[in-house]
Amino acid sequence: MNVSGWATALAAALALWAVEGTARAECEGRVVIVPFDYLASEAKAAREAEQFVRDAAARRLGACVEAREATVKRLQRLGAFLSSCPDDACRAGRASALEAAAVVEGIALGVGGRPSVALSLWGRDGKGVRASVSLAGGAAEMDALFEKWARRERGAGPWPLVTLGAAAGAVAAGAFFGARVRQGQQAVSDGTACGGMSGQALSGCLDARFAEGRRDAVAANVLFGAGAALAAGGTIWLVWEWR
Amino acid sequence: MDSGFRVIALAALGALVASGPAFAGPPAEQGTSFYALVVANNASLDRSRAPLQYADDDGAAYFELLEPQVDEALLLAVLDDDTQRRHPGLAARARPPTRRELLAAVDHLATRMEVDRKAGRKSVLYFVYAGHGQRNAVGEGSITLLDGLFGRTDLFDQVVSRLPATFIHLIVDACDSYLFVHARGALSPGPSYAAAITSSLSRMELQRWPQLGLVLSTTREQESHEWSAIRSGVFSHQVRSALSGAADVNGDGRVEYSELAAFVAAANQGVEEARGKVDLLARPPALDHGVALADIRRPTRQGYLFLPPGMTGRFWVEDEHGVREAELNKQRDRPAVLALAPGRRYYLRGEGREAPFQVPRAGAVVDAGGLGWGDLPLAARGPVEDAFRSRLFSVPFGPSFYRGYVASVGEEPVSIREQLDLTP
Repeated sequence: MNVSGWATALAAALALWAVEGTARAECEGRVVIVPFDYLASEAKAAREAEQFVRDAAARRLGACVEAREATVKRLQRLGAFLSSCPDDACRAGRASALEAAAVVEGIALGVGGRPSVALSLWGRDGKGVRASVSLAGGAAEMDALFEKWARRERGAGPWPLVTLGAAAGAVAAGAFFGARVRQGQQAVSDGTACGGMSGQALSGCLDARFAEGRRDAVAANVLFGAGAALAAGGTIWLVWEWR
Repeated sequence: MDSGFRVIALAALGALVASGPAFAGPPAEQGTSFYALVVANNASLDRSRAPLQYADDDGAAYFELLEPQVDEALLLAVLDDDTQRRHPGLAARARPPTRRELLAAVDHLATRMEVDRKAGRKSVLYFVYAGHGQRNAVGEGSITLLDGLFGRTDLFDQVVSRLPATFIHLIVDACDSYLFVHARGALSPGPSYAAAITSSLSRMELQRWPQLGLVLSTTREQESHEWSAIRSGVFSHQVRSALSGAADVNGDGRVEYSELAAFVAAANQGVEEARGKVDLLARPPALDHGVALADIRRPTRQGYLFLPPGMTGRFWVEDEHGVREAELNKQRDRPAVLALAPGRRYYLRGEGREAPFQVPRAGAVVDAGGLGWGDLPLAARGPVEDAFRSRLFSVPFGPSFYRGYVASVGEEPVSIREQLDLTP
């Protein structure tokens, strides 16, 4: 496989991963957004911030987001359940009690004259993401948070590892071609490359062996380069998915 | 609909989405100018009383807390070598704490406030003093400047009466409020400085100056103490913590006098030894008992550390130079916000652990719930200091403590909401 072949394979892997990610982002369970509290702010701002987050969640997670009315009824049924969670185990218990695949809690902040919201999103295992998001900055920051959450939920997937595997393959192939070059060079040096030939035949044989050696050397170098690039890309991808 | 129109419509929609909805902003306080005058003096005029070690640190810390919140801040202090190292760049902005410099600063502020007044703006002044206090020749409570005493009469005649401020918040941490470890500089027998100044502040005088609010240490012990662990007076450390936002018990973003007083009381609740206790007098201006000493909703040049519900216990924030910025004992269900200067590295520390963080810019909010925690190396400390350290801030501060405190002192409480809004 030449360099363009490797690039095509990598692009295909990326596309497959993206398609799979989109498919998994379809509704897989209820997302419960707990009515927001507020600090250095007021009730009206908390409702506005909550609606802002609901809109962003609906954009990213579609029909999975439970309506506020339903969540309020659920919370009223659960009574004193609203005390704060200090750890993952408590959060997992809360997700379970709310029959939610994901829980979103938020506190509307009004510090420094800039409305923002401190958000916490977690799943059934109690693990999740946190961020404080400026509400004046538009929806992009909020979408990025939900994307981070979705990425964490679906996990890294096999593709970063596939990329690293491809890198290893490229390096191995490069080593194979490098060894062949070395072998051919040794044979020419020892005089065994075109054994028994002389005159015009020897000259033609040597030219052919030199040309073959050059091709193998180019292939080895390209494969080593591609392997290094894939290894770097795969590592960055893996770290990006795990962060 | 043609394609050109669709493009324009989509672009307009995109711009609308990108701009985001209009959110309820903080209450406008556009018509108010804020000023701070911080005076700190380690020196003693009395040969029998040793100089203080950390009054200049307190002055620097007050200045760094207030400076990003106000339109102009002035510092009168001579910072020692260690303080200059811990507060880089501050010495160049400081003037010596002499009577001449103090009166010049008051003149300057009076001029600015007069401009504000003519422009229809209100003005608020924080006047902070940290240093030795003593009684002057006529028995009047005084603060110590480099070149002499500055008495109660001076305070009213040379400062309060000359400043056309809407409100003046007078914060005095004189020698009595310096606590622990380095006990020194006993006052002569008689009422302490703070007790003297408070008793001298006759009802008639306070009625005459209804714009004046007081936060004074009134520790009964007549010795000067400083706590080397925080390189500060304990009273000042607690007051600064409160003003950072830790005392905001009802989460409205404002720290009123009663909240500050209750916060300091809670911070000292666990200190059993009488000589270790910090007592204070916090009296709001007669003009408006609900005026805020601090308001973290205001646009300032500060950043913020958000401590979410779920975090519980004693926490303190130190900066990269080891300056302890704020401390609190947080109730689990109550979120809290601490205002901090941006552009520095900080450490949020709790019992046995710490989390480094940075406040990248003014207005940024750092969520402490998302910080990575590691073990806190145990520094070698003396047993006395350990005992004291474990008792300060040992009682969680929250609505229940606040209600009990204001009920015990007969103050009017701030309103506290109990529950989430669960209306559909």
